[in-house]
This record gives sequence, C-alpha cells and structure tokens, in this order.
Amino acid sequence: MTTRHAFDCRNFKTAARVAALALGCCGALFAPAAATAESHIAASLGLPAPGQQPEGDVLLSVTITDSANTDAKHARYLFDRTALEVLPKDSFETSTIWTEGLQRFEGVRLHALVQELGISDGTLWLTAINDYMVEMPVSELRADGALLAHTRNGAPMTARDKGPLWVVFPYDENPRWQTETVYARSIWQLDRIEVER
Amino acid sequence: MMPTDDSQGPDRGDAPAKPAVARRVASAQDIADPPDLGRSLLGFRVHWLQMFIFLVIAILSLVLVFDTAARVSRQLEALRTSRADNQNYTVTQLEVESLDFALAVNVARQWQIAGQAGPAVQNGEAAEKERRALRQVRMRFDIFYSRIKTLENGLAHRVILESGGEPGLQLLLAFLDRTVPVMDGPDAALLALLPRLEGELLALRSVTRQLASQTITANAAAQERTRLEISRLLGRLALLSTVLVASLLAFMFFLWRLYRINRIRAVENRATLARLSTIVETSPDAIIVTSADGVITDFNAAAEAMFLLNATEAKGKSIGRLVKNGDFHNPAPAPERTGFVPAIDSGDLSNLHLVGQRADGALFPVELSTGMANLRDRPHCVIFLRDISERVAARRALEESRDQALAGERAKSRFMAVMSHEMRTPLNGILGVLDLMRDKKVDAGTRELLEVMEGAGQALLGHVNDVLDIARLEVEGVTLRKSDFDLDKLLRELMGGLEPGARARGNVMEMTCNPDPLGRWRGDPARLRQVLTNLLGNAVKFTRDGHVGLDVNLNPQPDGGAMLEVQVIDTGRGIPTDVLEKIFDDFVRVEAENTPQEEGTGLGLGIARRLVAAMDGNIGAESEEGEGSLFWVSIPLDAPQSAAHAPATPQMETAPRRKVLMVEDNATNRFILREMLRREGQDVSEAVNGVEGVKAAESEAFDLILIDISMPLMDGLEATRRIRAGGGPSAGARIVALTAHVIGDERDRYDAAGMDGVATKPLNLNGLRRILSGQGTEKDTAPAQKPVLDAAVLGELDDAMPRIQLIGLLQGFLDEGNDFIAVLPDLSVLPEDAQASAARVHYFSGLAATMGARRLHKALSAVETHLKTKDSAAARAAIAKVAPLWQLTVAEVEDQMAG
Repeated sequence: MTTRHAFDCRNFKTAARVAALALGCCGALFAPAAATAESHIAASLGLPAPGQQPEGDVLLSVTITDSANTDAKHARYLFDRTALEVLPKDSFETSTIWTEGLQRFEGVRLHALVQELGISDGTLWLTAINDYMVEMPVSELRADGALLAHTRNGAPMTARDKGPLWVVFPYDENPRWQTETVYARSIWQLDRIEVER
Repeated sequence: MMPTDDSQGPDRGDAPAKPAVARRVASAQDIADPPDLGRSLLGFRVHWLQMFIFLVIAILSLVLVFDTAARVSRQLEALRTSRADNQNYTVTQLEVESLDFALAVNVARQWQIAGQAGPAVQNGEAAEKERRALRQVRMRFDIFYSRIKTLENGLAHRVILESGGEPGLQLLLAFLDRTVPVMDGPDAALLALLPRLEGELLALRSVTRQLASQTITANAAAQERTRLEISRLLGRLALLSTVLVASLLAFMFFLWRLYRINRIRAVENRATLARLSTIVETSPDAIIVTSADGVITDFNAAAEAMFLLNATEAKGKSIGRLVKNGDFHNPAPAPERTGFVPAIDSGDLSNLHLVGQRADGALFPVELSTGMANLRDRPHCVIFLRDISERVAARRALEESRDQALAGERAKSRFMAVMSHEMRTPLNGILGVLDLMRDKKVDAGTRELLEVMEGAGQALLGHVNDVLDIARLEVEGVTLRKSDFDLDKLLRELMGGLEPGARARGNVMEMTCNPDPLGRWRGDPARLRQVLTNLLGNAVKFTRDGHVGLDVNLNPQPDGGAMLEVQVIDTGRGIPTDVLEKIFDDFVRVEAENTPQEEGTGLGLGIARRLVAAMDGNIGAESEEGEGSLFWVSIPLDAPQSAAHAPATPQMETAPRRKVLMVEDNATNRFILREMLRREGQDVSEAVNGVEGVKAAESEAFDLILIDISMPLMDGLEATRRIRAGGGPSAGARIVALTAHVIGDERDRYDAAGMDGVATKPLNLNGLRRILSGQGTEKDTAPAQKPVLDAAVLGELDDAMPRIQLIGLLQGFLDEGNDFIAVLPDLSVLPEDAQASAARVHYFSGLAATMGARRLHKALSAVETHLKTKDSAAARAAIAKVAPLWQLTVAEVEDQMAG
C-alpha cells in the first residue's frame, strides 16, 4: 500500500512543484507579514519543549530529523490533548465518504502546525496506530487544507471512531479535496508524525 | 461520400450554344435570363441544397459532439474527483486488521496460558505481559471496530451492498456488538472470553476473506464499466468529430464551388453584357427601352441619330413624344396624332408601321417592333425602330411604275378588245347576210361565190376571236366550265370537222384511241375542243400530201378520274429548233422560205398553252425540220358526275312566242337580229337608242329586252336602270345585255344596273335560242357567283396593316353590319324617305365593298338603286335578299378572323 501511495505522491509532487512556483511569487510578497504573524503565535502560545513528557496521555509525537545532518539529534515533541488544544484552533463542517451526514471537525491545521514547528520544507510522514503511513510534502500544505482534528461534533474521538486524531480535509469545499490522493492522505487513528527536512 | 455533381454542374463546355437572335426581340429577354443561365441556375440551387444538407449535418454533429463531450467531461470529472476511497484497500485492510486482532488475541492467550501454568515469580512478570497483551488486544479491536464501522457507513457500505457482502458485514457487526461489552469490561472478563474469541476470529477469517474478494470483484466490474463507458463515449466523440469535420469540409467544398460558379457566371455576364451593349450600340435600328408606361430608360446611338436627340435628353421622356400612331401616308392633322404607348398586356408587336417625329418636328415613317422583358423585376418594353423612309419611297416608285405598266397593259388590252369589237360588228353584218342569202334561191355560180365569201368571213372572224380571246385571257384569266361529256363523240366531231380541209390538202387523217371507246368524262369540253382543234388545225395546215395522226391514251387515276394524253403527229414540214423553243409564245409564226405564207395570227398555240395550264395540264412539242412535228397534251379529267346521258346541248325546239324589244343603234346588227328573231317566231319591236328603248318599255309590256350597251344618247346600262326603276309595264322584263366586249368588272356594272344576263355579240342562232329559252346567257352559266368575301381585297388589307389591326377592322365591320341588319327591316322604302334610307344603305354598302364582301355589296347596291329610283316594291324585294347574304358574310369573316 505504501508503494502505491508513494507513486501517487510523486505525481502529486510534480504538479505541486508547478503550483508552488506560482504560489511562491505570491508568497514572496506576503513573506514579511507572515513572518510577523508566526513570531507572534510562537510567542503567545508556544510548543511543548522538545522531549518533554506531557501530563496526559500522549496522543501525538512529532519527530523532526535533518536529512542533511543525519548525526544531529532528533527533535521530538509529544502532545497530549491539552497541548494540542493550545495550538491555533480551527474548524469546519464537511461530509466525508466514510461517515453519514455533515460532520463538524475541530483541531489544528497541519499547515499551522508545521509553521509552529518552524518547518518550511521537507516531507511529513504521518503514521497511524495500525502503522498506515502517508507522505505529505510540506510545500503542499495549505492554510485552508488538511486539519489535524481532535474533536468531532464537539466530542473527542475514540480509536473506535477513527480517533483520537484524524487528518481531514474540507472535502465539500472544493473538488480539489475529492481526489484519491486526498482520501489516502485522510489518515485516521494518527499517533505520530515524522518530519524530514 | 462527396456526391459528384458533374451532371448538374454548369459545365461551360457542353452548355447549349445560345441560339442566334432569331427574333430580334428575344435578345431583350436574354438580358434578364439567358437560356444557359437558366440551366446553371438549377445547378446553383442544387448546390445550395447540398450545402444546406451538409450544414445541417455539421450542426447536428456539432450538437452531438457537444453532448458527448459534456458526458465525457462529466465522466472525466467523476474520475478526477473520486467520490470513493480505495475500496480494495479498505477491504484487504479489514482482513489484515482482523488478522492483527487475531494475532493480538493469540499473544494474549499465550501469556494467559503461561500465567496459569508457570511459577508464581514468573506469574508477576507474566501478569504484566498479559496486561500489555490485553491492551494490544483492545487496541487491535478498536482498529478492527473502526474498520468495520467504516464499511458500515459512507460510500463503502454501498459497494458492500452492491457486491453482496452485506450478510458478511452483518456477521461482523454482530460480532462487534457481542464483543464490545467484554472489551470495555474488566480484564478478567476479557481473559475469560479469550479462548472463545480465538475461535470466533478463526471463523471470521473466511467472512473477511469473502468480503474482500467480493468487493474487489465488484470494484473491478465497476471500473471496467466506467472504462467501457468512457471508451464508448470517446469513440462516439471521435466518430462525431470525424463527421463534423467531414461535413464542414464538404460545406467548404461546395462554398468553394459556388464561389467558382459565381465567378464564372460573373465573367460570362460581363461578356454577355459587353456583347449585348455592342450589339445595341452598333445596331442600325434604333433600340429604345421604356418602362411599362412608356418612359424612356435606354436610348442607343442609332436612336439618337434617328430622332436628332441625345440619350440624356431622351431619357425620362415619353416614347409617345417620339413615335406617333397612324399611317404616314394618310397623315392626320398633327394635333390629332396620338402618341404611341407600348401595350404591355398585348404582348410583342412586330413590324407596325407608325410615324416618327424628330426633335425638329419632321415626320418620317418607321417600322416598329416591341418585345416585353422583365428587367430588374419590372416590365419593360424594348422597342426596335427602323426608319423606312427610303423603303417607302422605293416602294412608292415601284408601285407607280407598276401601275403605269399595268395601265399600259390594260390600255393595250382595251384597244385590242375595242378593235376586235369594231371589226366584228361589220363582220357580223356580212356573215349574217350570207347566212340569210343561203336560204334564198340563187344560181350555182353565185352560191359558189357566197361560199368563198363565207369561208373568208369565217376565217376573219376566227382571227378576231383569237385576238379577243387573248385579250380576255390576259385580263380576266380562264374560267373553266366543267360538265360531263362524251369524249369519243367530241373527238369524232373534231376529226369530222377537219376532214374536208385535210382532204383538200391531200392529207390522210387517222385516229387511234386506247381504250376504245374512251367513254364519258368530266371537264371543260369547249376548252378541250379549242386546244385540240388548234393543234389538229395546225397539223393539217402545215402538212401537204402527208399524214396527220391523233393518238389518244387515257390512263385511269386512283381518284376515279383519268389522265388524257393526246399526241398530234404530222408529217409536215416541221419546226426549226429556234422557233420550237418559243412556239407557245404569242404571235410566233413559223416563217419558211419557198412556201406560201399560211394565214394566222400566231396566237393559237399561245391560247392553247393558257387553256391547258388552266386545266392543270401540260403541253409540249417536238419536231424535226422537214420530217414532221409532234404536239402532245396531257390533261386530267374527272370522273363523270352523272352516269346518265344528259343533253349537252340545248334542244333546238322552237321557243314560245314572246314579245321582244331590241334596243340597238347599229342598223346592220338590228337587221340581222330582227331577221333571226323573226325566224324563231318572236314578236319583235325595235328601238334605236336608250331613250327610245325606255320609252317603248314604258308604253308596252315586253317579255324580253335585248339591249346594246354602247349607244348614243343613253347607253344600255342607264336605259336598263330607268326601265327597272320606271315601274312601267316592262319593269320586270328579262333584260339581256348585248356587248362585244365583256371585260373585268364590267359585269358588276351590268348586274348593278339590273340586267339579268349578258350575251356576247355577234349572236348566232344557237346563242339567240339559248337566250330565248331563258337559259344559256352568260350570267346564268357563270359558274362562280361573286365571292362572299373577296380574297384579293382581304389580301390587300392584310398587306396594308398588321394582322391585329385587320382583325379589329373586321370586328368593326361585323358590329356595324349587325347593327345595320337589325334596323334593316324597319328601313322605310317609301318614296319620301328613300333619300335618307339610300344614304344609310350606301354607307354600309361602301363598307362592305371595302371589306371585299362582294355579294353583300351587290345586294346592297341593288337596294340603293331601287331606293334612289323610288321603286318601293323592288327595294323591298332587294332588301329581303340582304339578310341571308349577311349570314354568309359573317360566317366567312369569322373564318378569316380565326385563320
């Protein structure tokens, strides 16, 4: 299954590079403003310290490795529910192909999360408790895109209903979010993220 | 795919050559619609039709292409934005996760077994392992649970339903429902369940396995369907696109063809226009185009020259200002001349003779033809005008010289007629006296002298008659009087008559007939006898001590008639070749040396030629000088009308005694006629001129009046009119004119004067007897009455004006006539109204004469005469004859109009 996804991602990468080139131009214009906002968020909210064991059950671990320097020590962040709720919160309503009816998801945008982590490029490797893994280039993350949801219809999610963390996209908003790649990336029962930069 | 349209294409090569402008007017039509354009116009329409068809096909396929493209697009969109996750992955993952769960359960079971069997120290460690194993079991259950719930919800469930995996799913859901309370319960309960769980999971393996394979199969089928649908749509799209492109190409092709045709046509039109305008500009005839109301729109160079008016001045003017109605030779006063207006409705006119008026006012005769043409969808009149001044002048000159020549000819004929008349009158006297002397007792010597005298007199009379015959034939032609006759008898009499003369010259005469007898036939026996007498007479005259033969052959014809072929062969002196060529001309005589000059006028064969021609026959001669001559005649004879023998000659029985008045100024003639009449037992009175004749007729009732035409004081015509009109006792008597010359229309004058007949002088006894018996006068035997309509008069009228005008004239005549006939019964014949009535009759009579209604004219003239002489009874009788004649005339006029 991983092979198939990798293939899809390569294709997607190519397309994304083209899109990124276009976006890059816009991005350059807004870069200073974005930097200001970033520093403000970092200052006001903050991440848990690397390697710090949170008080509650660990829902998510984020490991950052540096591909250029393999010997460097990995930065590892552990999030419990409280830590996740500290992160910039976002929400939207959408239907999914795995559920019946509209669902309200609440959580943090992946885009916002990597910004919090100070990651600007590289690849995210997202893995579920059943070891299902997907690959997401950082450059393809959009501010209005993937949401790392921890709350569904106002309640935390259990492993039985695809919790505790589920990467969802605003599928109804745009046909862009109705492709098989997007569905493949909609990983549920997520428990760890590895970032290679 | 492309229809080849060579058949309807306007191929210039085989287009029919434009017919030469046969009718001049036709060229005007050509401007609007030349014949070959008509054909290519059809091709044009066909092209439009084809283009239309291909355009419709193109539009249809475009619509279908759009429709199909939309469907393809929808399909592509569906492919692009998948509404479903990867089902195959989900169901295989279900299997994997069930195995993971089973594995976790198995591990936990191992530790449970180890815990139950192993030592206590180890138990503590085992319990920890067991707890962790149980956590694994719970997590794997949760994952398994989540997976099954995924299948129960969303789109995945639909696939399960479609693939028939629902029972399997229900089994799994039932398992979950059973297991959840245990999973959420205390560890002890879970541990207690483990062995059963292990068994259940083993059983579920086949369920998950089947669910996976079913789903994969169904998905594969669905994908295949989608692929097929897309492939089908793309195929259709390709086909439609091909059709679209093909029809657009065809459309373009026809558009291109049309463009080419139009270009060729434009070039042709330009050439035609150039040609036509050259024709129009160089035409010697004036060509003027006008609108329907006669306003000039085109005016060619010839027209400019003809009317001394340039085209720009002429345009916009009315054609009526240039061309006037009426006859150039009978000019009406200028203000009364009406302008010519082209008659659009009456169609094309040709060769109308009208009057043109130049800008300087000068008039000239023109010949006008018109043709109607639709130019720019509006009726136009194309007028061709030809200045015929020269032609008219030439014709006038020709007519004048012809009239002069004819007048000269007539004068000659009249002179000859008068001369022969003047010669015959005294001759008549001599022969009459000789006739009478034969009855008296004279001695033999005197009788011999008398016979010589009579022979000479008869010869002289023959010559005079010849001359008179020629004159009459020239002036009025030959009138045939056909009757049944006995051909054998005629020939026998002929031979008998000539026999004595022949014998006197030592000639032997022979006649052979084939068949023998020849039988009875119909023809003009008198003319036939005249021709044969001439030929035989000549043969006898120019043969001495020789042989004269008459060979008669009769060849029956299919129509029941026969061709009479006669050869007159003599062994006489023959005719020189140079004379033979003109032997049938007038006054040709064979002059020969050392032979006594035979008497004769040289007119005989000329007369024979005319008579034979009149009988539709042929005449010819062959001769060898010194050997003899052969004259041949062939004349068609009709079958006899009556088989029975009808008396050909009147019976010579004595006529009943009548009172006869003889009006004659010449004493000799009077004497001879008186003697003849007395011999016939008639009661004769005499008058020496017209005045005395009228006087005698008014004082006494006569049965018959014989009256000379030319007399001093009052001629025969005037006298007859007075006798008829005078109402005396002899007003109703039979009046017969005696005249030596009856030529041309003189007979009409006799008729109009009221004469019943005409007899030619000198009268012999037979002629006199015919008159006395009331038959045989020339009037009675005249075969043809006056024609109802005189073709010659109508012919002249026809020449003088266009047919349409003649028909109008005839119609006018009919209308006038009907009016006149309607009032005729009311016409007063009373003496006091006679003058007015006569004027009325005279008017219509003149009209009848103009139209050539000769019999009607004659009848009307009689009415007029009676009215003028105030003879009411005669007028009424004459009026009664008019109406039937009018019916005859109407019938013939209508025939003329229809013809």
